[in-house]
Amino acid sequence: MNSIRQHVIVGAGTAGISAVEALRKAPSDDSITLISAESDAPYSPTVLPHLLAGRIDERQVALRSADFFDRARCRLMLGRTVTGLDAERRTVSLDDGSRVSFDRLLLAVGSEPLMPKIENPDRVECLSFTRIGDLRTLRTRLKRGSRVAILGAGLIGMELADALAHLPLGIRVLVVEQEKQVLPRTFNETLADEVLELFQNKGVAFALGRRAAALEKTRDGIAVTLSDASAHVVDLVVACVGVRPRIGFLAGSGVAVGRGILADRRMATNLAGIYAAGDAAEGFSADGAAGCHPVLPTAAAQGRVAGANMADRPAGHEGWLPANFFNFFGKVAVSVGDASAGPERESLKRSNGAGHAELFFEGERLVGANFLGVPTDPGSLSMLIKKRVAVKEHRELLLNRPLEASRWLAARAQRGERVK
Amino acid sequence: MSLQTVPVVRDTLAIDFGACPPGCSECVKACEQHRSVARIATLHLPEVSFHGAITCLQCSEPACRDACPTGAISRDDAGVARLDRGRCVGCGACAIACEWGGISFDFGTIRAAKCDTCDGDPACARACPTDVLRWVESRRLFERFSHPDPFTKGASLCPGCAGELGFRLAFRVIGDDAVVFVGPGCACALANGLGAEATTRLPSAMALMTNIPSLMTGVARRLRQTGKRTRCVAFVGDGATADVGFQPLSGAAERGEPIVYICYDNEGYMNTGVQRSGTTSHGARTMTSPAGPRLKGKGQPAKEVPLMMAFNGAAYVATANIAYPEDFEAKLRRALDVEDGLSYLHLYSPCYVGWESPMDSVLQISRRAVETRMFPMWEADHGKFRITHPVDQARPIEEFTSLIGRFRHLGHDDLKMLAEEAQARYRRIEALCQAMPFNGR
Ligand SMILES: Cc1cc2nc3c(=O)[nH]c(=O)nc-3n(C[C@H](O)[C@H](O)[C@H](O)COP(=O)(O)OP(=O)(O)OC[C@H]3O[C@@H](n4cnc5c(N)ncnc54)[C@H](O)[C@@H]3O)c2cc1C
Repeated sequence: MNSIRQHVIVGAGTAGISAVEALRKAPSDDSITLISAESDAPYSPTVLPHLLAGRIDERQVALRSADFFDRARCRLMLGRTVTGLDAERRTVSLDDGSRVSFDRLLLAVGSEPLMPKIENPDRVECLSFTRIGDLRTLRTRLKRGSRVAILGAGLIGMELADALAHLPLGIRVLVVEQEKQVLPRTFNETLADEVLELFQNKGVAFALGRRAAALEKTRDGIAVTLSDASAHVVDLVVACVGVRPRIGFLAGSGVAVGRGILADRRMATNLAGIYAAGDAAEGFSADGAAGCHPVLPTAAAQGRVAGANMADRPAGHEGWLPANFFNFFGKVAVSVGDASAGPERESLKRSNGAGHAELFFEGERLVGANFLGVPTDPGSLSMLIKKRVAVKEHRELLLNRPLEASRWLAARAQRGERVK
Repeated sequence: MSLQTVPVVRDTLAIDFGACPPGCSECVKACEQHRSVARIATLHLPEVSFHGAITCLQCSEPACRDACPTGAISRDDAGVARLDRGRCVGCGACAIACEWGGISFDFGTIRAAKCDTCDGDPACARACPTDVLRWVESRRLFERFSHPDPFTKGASLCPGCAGELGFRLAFRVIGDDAVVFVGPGCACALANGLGAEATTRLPSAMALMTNIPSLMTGVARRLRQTGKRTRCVAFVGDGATADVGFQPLSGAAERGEPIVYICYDNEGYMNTGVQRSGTTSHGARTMTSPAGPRLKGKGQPAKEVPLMMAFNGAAYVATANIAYPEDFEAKLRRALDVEDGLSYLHLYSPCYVGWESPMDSVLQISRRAVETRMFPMWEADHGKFRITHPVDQARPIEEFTSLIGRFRHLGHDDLKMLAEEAQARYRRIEALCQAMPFNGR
């Protein structure tokens, strides 16, 4: 028998918990310690807009039931922030000055919000929306009729705008975005315009193609000056201009970082026995490009791979593929892969009052797809793209019946057949 | 119960994927009726003649559970992944994470739903008018193979070997009261070991390729004389069975020796570097039946050894296939019961190395061989024939050949010929069933 190992996982989000599941898949007497900077029961920040909109309440969002951690023999250390890592002595240091030793370590600390470069002489409070603490702050600040400026029309900004528009508080929302469309890099212009219209119909205002340049305190609120010199007075400003991996505490530790913590396909860092997964990691895409991919399915998959390797069950991450799923006012918007036009690419479109579908092909294979208001199976489509299955022969079927056709094609490919 | 002791043996909703009657959606209706939102879907694509049902496969490490941000999906001790719809926020992460079409996202309420097997009594399976959906109690399945595995630790065969699986399953049915006979071939590496590796706990004998049934005859007669009921069972490849060793086998059948002879047919001499044998498929490329500008693999159709045996005095003859373990078990039990003559089982055992297929493909190939009618499943009990797995509509031959590299050189016409031969083979068995029908033992 191997000697008993101590596994320490920093971060109790999706990546960290998937690693616990994978570590406990095989029998062993290894110990597991899971550390989270927050004192809340482990949760995912994805729930924030849903909590805000009242679709679910805080008691219903624990990632695992309390007895899960007992059964998994996993020691939970909540409300403890890891401030440093000593790779030589194999310890991490905590904010209370104590140290925790490890044989194997997983860094699953997630991401932190980016702050926009903006003139702010009055030091006006600029909120963010990535942790449950941010939600609580926002809730206390929101009043009936509040005017809210959201900086950034990316995934988080649009989810926040959607949640605010759902609140029965008559909140007036302005979304500022420097690109000319909402959800840039996620949806192409056509679909983005449709999404924009959905929001505008619900009274959300947009300033597209403009940047927020300055914030100033005025008598009746905060003046947000845009790059075209127009000014908008609001009560609250929330920055949703993106996230970046949380790597600050690793300075001087010897762990190699780029944009995120550099990890190979096994989610191993440059230092033996130290792994990274989830938003914090810079792993690989399905095409083999290095990069960060801060979404749930990737955090889950990378966490599983890291946990398996920590338990000496060799595993590799097949690489992530962009995939997004939104519910905007009852209409589902889905994007999978790289849904952008290109010289080597052919696209196929279908559109009617109820919905839109657009597929992109390169040679024989599908490379990306966008849908709005059309039932699809994003997992099956992802599989077809990732595994480079030749599907072009069935492109009309995929366009007209995406749900059924993608499942049929994916199931055939999963069962090891060549699709003709 | 701690996480690591979740039982492996589980009951399963078995789906014969792609075998639904066109237009039938009884399962979806039943599910909707019982569970308000359907958790099973039918894929009716007449454009490509595909009709199938799809639902959650209950993965052991469910990607949907790991991706769910509210902890709404959990896996219970029975191995079922459950979704608490009250905690679903409709974010779709599960539907992105599952690449098996297992999440039934309801685009009406914009909430996910998924199969939880109706706690072991699935309404869909009850409603299915065909055999496409079946609730399989794996506990029962395992009971059929209740004897301990007869081999010691370690195996010197290739990982993913169909023959090995067949060998192990056979002796989990037969049990300990048997003598195992093998010939020079892959199976002897498992039965007699190579160096310090696997060997069997049972008494075993390795004969020559040319005298296995003769040796068995002697041992079986001696055992009978001493009043023992110990069975003599051969597990021998197709080379020794169909070619060099056929003469003593034919003789033993004709004399009515009460031995059980299992031929694991991997269609070639695989152990010695993939040479053609009498049972190698027509058109298959091997070392001694190459494919090139002049030759197109083996030039002759395979010998039909089970038919030869059925007309050669064997009391019981059956074809079997490791993709259908319950059927194999039932036939093996019948073979063990027969004492008034020789029992011959012909076990289809693709060799992915020699067939140039992926390592994990042998079960898929085995199943496709049946579904395309390449390998008919039948038995002849004292001269009465029946098809044990009727295939009403053969799948296109390409669904079989595309899994197998040694057919890669075949063109459209060659495949057509293969398909026609397969149909003829199947119809021949059908004709025998009509001429000499089976009506109970
Ligand atoms: C508003 C919002 C909406 C989103 N919506 C979606 C969506 O719809 N679909 C989707 O796929 N993704 C969505 N995401 C992204 C998704 O939530 C993340 O990709 C995912 O949570 C990443 O998981 P993780 O385990 O890497 O990090 P997290 O879940 O963020 O967990 C990080 C953990 O690390 C802990 N931690 C951080 N620093 C330290 C430290 N120094 N010491 C100790 N502990 C530390 C934290 O307390 C936390 O427990 C959304 C994100 C946000 C913010």
